[in-house]
Order: sequence, then structure tokens, then C-alpha cells
Amino acid sequence: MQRDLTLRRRLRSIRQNEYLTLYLFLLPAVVLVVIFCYIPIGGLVIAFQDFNIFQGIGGSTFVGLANFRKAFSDPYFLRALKNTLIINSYKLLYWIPLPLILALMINEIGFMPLRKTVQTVLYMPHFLSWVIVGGIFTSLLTVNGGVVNKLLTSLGMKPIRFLTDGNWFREVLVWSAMWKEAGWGTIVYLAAITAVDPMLYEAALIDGASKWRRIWNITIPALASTIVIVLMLSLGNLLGNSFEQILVMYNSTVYDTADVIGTYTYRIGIGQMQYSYSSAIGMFNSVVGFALVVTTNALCRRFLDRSIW
Amino acid sequence: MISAARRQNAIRMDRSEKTVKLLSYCLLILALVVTLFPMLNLVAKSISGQRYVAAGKITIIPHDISFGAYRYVLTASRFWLAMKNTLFVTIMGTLISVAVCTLAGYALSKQRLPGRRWLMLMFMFAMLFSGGMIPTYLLIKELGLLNSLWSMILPGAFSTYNMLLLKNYFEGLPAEIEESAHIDGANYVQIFLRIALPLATPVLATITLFCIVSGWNAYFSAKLYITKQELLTLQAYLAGIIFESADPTGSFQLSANNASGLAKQSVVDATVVCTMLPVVVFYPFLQRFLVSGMVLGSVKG
Repeated sequence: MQRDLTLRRRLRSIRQNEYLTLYLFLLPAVVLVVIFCYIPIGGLVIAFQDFNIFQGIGGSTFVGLANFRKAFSDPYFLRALKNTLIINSYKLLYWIPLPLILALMINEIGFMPLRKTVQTVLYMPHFLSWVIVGGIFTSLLTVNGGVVNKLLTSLGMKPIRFLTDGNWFREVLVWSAMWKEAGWGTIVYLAAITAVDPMLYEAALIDGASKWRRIWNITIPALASTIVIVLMLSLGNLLGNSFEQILVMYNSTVYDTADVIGTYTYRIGIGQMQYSYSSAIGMFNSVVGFALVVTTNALCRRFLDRSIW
Repeated sequence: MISAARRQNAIRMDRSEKTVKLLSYCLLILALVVTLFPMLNLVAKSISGQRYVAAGKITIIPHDISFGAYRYVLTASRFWLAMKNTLFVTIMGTLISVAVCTLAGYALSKQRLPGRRWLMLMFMFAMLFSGGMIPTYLLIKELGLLNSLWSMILPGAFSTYNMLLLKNYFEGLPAEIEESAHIDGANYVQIFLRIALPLATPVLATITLFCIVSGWNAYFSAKLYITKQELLTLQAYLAGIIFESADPTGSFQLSANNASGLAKQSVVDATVVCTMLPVVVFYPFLQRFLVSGMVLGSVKG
């Protein structure tokens, strides 16, 4: 008893001396986060200024909310906001059912080597960059010798300018994103399916439930909370998603339907050096995105007893 | 009577089971075709003759096979320069990122560390909110990192997400091992290096692979911070070739009809293939680490 107590005391004193080591372990991370995350957050002050790069943050005049007011009367910003919402909602429409159905089907493959092969192929596009995916789809859909248009013309149809026709370009964005991510999206569902109690299926089998009923009444309900989590995560990302993909694949002929907040910020910020105005737009995006993520996470925690963090 | 009803049930069930299986297999085959066709089409075009490529006659079977496009791409010094830059960014970025995240994750896995909650809050907030593209760009500019490969490494070196994966893993290790080492007089550095790190190999492998993939694929930071041609990474170089019709060698524009007998599309496609090849070749062997990371992350961050 006595020995145990001294031992514990000794352990505590060692610990206190050792905390210094742990703080040193944390130092590089803290330095990087302060420099590359918190200084830019502080830099958002220029969103409230008429920032001039020669005068710096200290010398530039404050203009209050003028930049934000400007954004909401700027037709190009409003167009970008609308496109962001439309494109990401459109993706969401497929992002929920496609991976779910794929997962249910993969789950039907009993022969393990085949199942692994199917998974390997379907997961692979996730690891290709948007530049490569863009390259693959451009090559496939181009009017000059793309195999899809070749097929259309041989069927007597007119070639489709997938990459320069605004309406078709949105389809290209959505379907190339599904091509890249739908397979990878099955992972969370497959993990959840393995957690279902096999007894439930056996009981249903004895009661004469068909395969369809077993999927509909056992598997799907078991996946409900995962589906909601995936939905919440996507909702939280409603403004941030799609930016790099569009930056890679778009061109000036499709600005009307495909210019999103990120690409617009990039063009006016980096291209036209309107630092204050583009920072204000970026800040709007960050604040709304943050609010969405925090809200959806709170909802998940409240109603599903699960949270993203 | 009952047994007859049961048999009826069994037959009906059997039929529905078969239907679902058949439907699943058919649709999965369709999914495989849809996934593979664009890639195979690209490969076929990269090794086919100009006449066939320009006419759109290539599906997945190459015609008039030649590897001229690959010779063209692989003899371009710019390709190798871009490869060198990408390797530098990927390797340095991965080393720094894994080291920083592991150290921080280990420290934060110690529940009793004073100030732990505040530090966690600081990292979490940085994960969920950002200053955005323009203030970060101006900072990089102020730091003199424009047109430096470090601009592609340092800003993303710390990832809260990866750090949390590591922290959770360290928290899951049995505390008794470390405590007994403590009593034997080992300090945190020794415990970290000799006990915690070896035990964390699986999650370290996962994080390392995440970092390698994101380093290899990094495009936007190059587009944003790098303007010098000789500092472009593979993805930025490739984007120039695909979307801005840049020539791989940088010396002349490949026109649709040129003396080399190569279709421009073949050269573009060959560059895409060369850039995606390492991913496609290595990925199947490393898949299980990557998938396990995804599952770890989805359970609870």
C-alpha cells in the first residue's frame, strides 16, 4: 500500500517534468498552424479595407462592409453563388444513392477474390488527380476525335460540345465526379453492412421474407445513420466542393453555368489583383461553410448520437 | 400444410435471391466497364497512329501501334524537370507532414497534458475555418515563397485530420505499457520512439500514403504560387498540356497535322498515362492501408 503510494507520487513528478517534452512535440504543429492558418485568418481584415499592397494592412483605409455590399450587387458573384449551389446539389442528388447501391451490389459477391478485384477497380479513380480525370474526360468527349462524339455521329446524331456547351458541361462535371468518387464512397457503407447482425437475416429468411424485403427492411435501416452522416458531411461542404475540378476543366465559354465561388475568387483575386474584394468573397464562403459544418455536426450529435468530430 | 407453405416460401425466396445476385453482377460489370473504358481508351489512343486517333476510330484496341508519343514525352527535358519537382514536393512534404502530425498527435493523446483542450480547440478551428485563398496567397508572397517549392510543402504540412487519426490511435494503445516504462525511468522521447511509434506502424503507413497521394496530385498550390516554368510540378505541367495546349517539350506547338506522324491527342494522352502510371501501378498493393484509413476516419474523428 505504502509502496504503491510512493510509486504513484514518483510517477506524477516524472510526468510533470516530462510535460515540457510533450510541449516541444507540439511546437512544430503549433508554429505551422499559427503561420499558415491563423495569420491568413487575421489577414481577413483586408476584406474590410480598401487594401493596397504598397501601403500594407496598416496603411490601407477601412471601408466597413462595402466589399460585402458590393458582392451582393455583383451579378458575377451572384451567378457564381447560384452555380455553386446548383452544381453541388446536383452532385448530392447522385452522391447519396450511387455509392449506396454499389455497396449493396458489391456485398452480393460471395467469391472473395472477385469482390476484391471489383473493389480495387472501383476505388482506383479516387486516387487520380482532377487534372488527370479532366484529361481523361477531355480526351473522351472532345469534338475532335473523341470516341463518344464519334459514336453519336455514326448514329446519325449531331456531335455534342460537351466541354464548351454550358448545359452539357454541368453534366460532365457531375458525372466525372461520380466516376471518380462513387466507388470510394462505398467504403463507409460496406463497413456498416458488416456490422449488421446476421441473426436478423436468418430470422427474416425463416419468416419467408424475399431478398428484396431483407435488403429494404434490414440492410437499409441499418445503414440509415451512415447515410445521414454522409449527407450531413456533403451539406457542410455545399459551398466548398467542386472548386479544383472546375478550375481544371472549365473555360470562358461555360462561365455562365459553371463559374463557382472558388473559381471567381481566383480570377478576380489572383488574376485581377482585387485583393480586398476577393478576400471578402472568400470570407463569406468560409463563414457560411463553417456555419454549415458546425450546424450539421450539432444535428448529428443531437439526433444520431454520432458526430463528425 | 405448413411444410408446403414453407416450401413455397423457400422457392420464392430462392428466386428473389437469384434475381438480386444476377442483377448485382450485371450492374457491377457495367460499373467496371464504365470505370475502365475511359482509361483504356486513353491508353489505346496514346499508342495508335495519327490517322486513327484524329478520326476518332480508337475505342480500346489500338491500331497502327507506335510508341512515338511516349518517346516524345519521355525525351522532353521538361517532363523530367516536372517529375523531379513533384518528387521533391512529395518526399519532403510527406516526411515533414508525417513527423509534425505524429509528434502532435502523440502529445495530444496524453489526457493529462495541461492546456490540451485549448490546443485541440485551436487545431479544430483551423481545420474548419480558413482565411481563404487570397490572404494565404498574400502571406506566401510576404514570406518570399512565391516560386519556391516550399510554398507547396509548408502550408499543408500540418493536417488536423491526420493528426486526429494518429491521436485516436495512440489513445487506443494500452496505457500500462507506457506507465511501466515510465516507472523504469524512461522519458517521453524514449517511450515515443521505442514503444509508441513501433506500435503505430499501421496507422503511420496509412498517413504516409495519404501524404504521398496528396503530394503527387497537388495541383492548385502549384497553380497559385508557381509561375516559373522550371518549377512546375507534374500536375501543373500536365494541366498546361491538356487544357492550354502547351507542347510537352516547350519548343513548338504540335499542330493537328505534323511531320512527326503523331496525333497531338496521342502526345497529350501519353503524358496523362505517364503521370497516372505510378498511382495505378502501386495503388493495388497499398489499397488496404488506404481503405483502413478511410474506415478509421469515418468511425469517429
